[in-house]
Formats: sequence, structure tokens, C-alpha cells
Amino acid sequence: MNNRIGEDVYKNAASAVESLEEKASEISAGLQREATKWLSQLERKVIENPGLALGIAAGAGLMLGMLLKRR
Amino acid sequence: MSDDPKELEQRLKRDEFTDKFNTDAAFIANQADNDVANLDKLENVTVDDLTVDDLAVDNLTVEDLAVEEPTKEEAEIIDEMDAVREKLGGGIDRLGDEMRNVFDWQSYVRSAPLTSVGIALAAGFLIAPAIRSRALPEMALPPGSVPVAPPRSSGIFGSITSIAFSTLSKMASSYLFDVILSNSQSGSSAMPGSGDSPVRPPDAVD
Repeated sequence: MNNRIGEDVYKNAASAVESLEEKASEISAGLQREATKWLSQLERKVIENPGLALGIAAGAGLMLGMLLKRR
Repeated sequence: MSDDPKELEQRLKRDEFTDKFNTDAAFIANQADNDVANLDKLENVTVDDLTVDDLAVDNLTVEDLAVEEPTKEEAEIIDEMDAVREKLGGGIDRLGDEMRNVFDWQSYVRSAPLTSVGIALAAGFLIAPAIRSRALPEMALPPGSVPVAPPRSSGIFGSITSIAFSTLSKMASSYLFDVILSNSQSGSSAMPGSGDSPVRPPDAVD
């Protein structure tokens, strides 16, 4: 009886872990797709407006540096 | 002199023949003189002196009168000169393009966009301390305290940073000015109701 309960718990836990792994891989694949898409869009924007992109990046770096140095 | 009519007739015929012979001889001599003069002229004639009529008379074309074909050595020299001319022309064009690319900073950014953005981000991050060291002493003054001159960043790094910051700020301000100017121009050309604008005025009736 105890063995059967233990087997059931083990099976349930294994299936839960498997489903979690699948979900995690799906989420990571989705995130990777989104990141690739975002990077390609960023590249396109930089190629279209190089000066603006560099200015924004420098400004963002400046702000980040000032914020981090304040602490 | 005899008055024999036969003899008289023969004498007349002889005189007539003599006159005719003399006339023909003079004509032939004149023709011969003309031909000799024409031959003298022809010896000094060049291709440029010939007219279209001259060519038409002899059924000649311009190709028939062309300069003799170049020899093998001459042809080789001409080919080499053509090759050098082509090479020089293409090289100069290519050199111009390369020089233009060397001084075009946008081409560098376009060739490596993400790297350029990363470098700009890092540059901004590195410049931040120099700005803070200038701005903070004035900002952190308590009321009633005597203002102290801001500490100047010393050394080569400080001077390089200040030069870089001033250059960057000038570039950024000029670029922003250009962007704002171009946006305002494009915005004024696409005002609502200006014809080709997709936005319609609220009182427009179908």
C-alpha cells in the first residue's frame, strides 16, 4: 500500500517536473526568439539613424553612470 | 608659178592639210602641258586635300585612305597604354570611394551597429564621473555655507575626458538641432488639410 502511494507520488512528481521542463524550454525558446527579434530591430534602427542611436546610447550610459555613482 | 588647175588644187589641199596639222599639233601640245601641270599638282596632294567629290569619282571610302595599320610593336604599346589608362582610372575612382568611407563615421556604425551602440554606452558611462565631479559640489551646498571652488580633475585622463565631453556635447547639440529642424520642416509640409495628408479636418463632409 505504502509502496503504491510512493510510486504514485513519484510518478506525479516526475510528470510535474517534465511538464515544468517543457514549459521552461518553451519560455526560453520564446524569450530567445523575442531577443533575436528585438536585436535585429535595434540593428535596423541603428543603421537607419546612426547618429540618433549613438546619442541615445551615450545618454543612457551617462545617466546610468551618474545613477550608479551616486550610490 | 603654173596656172595648171590640177596643180593649183593640190597646192590648196596641201596648205589646208598643213594648217590642220599645225592646229592639231598645237592642241595636243597644250593638252600635254595641262597634263604635266596636273601631275605636278597631284604629287603634292594629301588626304586632307581630297574632297568628297574626289572620293566619289574614284569610288573610294575613308577607310581606303586610312593610315597604314600599326605594326606589332606599335599595337602592343597602344594596348599597354590602354591598359594603364583603364587601371589608373579605376584605381582613382576606387581610392576616392575608400577615402570617402574612411572619413565617413556612419559607415563604421552601419557595418557594426550593436558594437557601436555598446561603445557609445560605455563612453557615456565612463564620462559620467567627470560630470558628477563638476556638478556635485555646487549641488550639495548647505544653506549659509561658503561656496568652494570645484576640484578640477587633474592629469591626462581629466583633460581628455573634458575635451571628449565638450566635443560630444557639441556634436549632440548640433545633431539634435538638425533633427528638430528636419522634423519641423516635414511636419509643416504634412499639416492636416494640406492636400496629401491622411488626416482630415473635422469639418470635412463626404
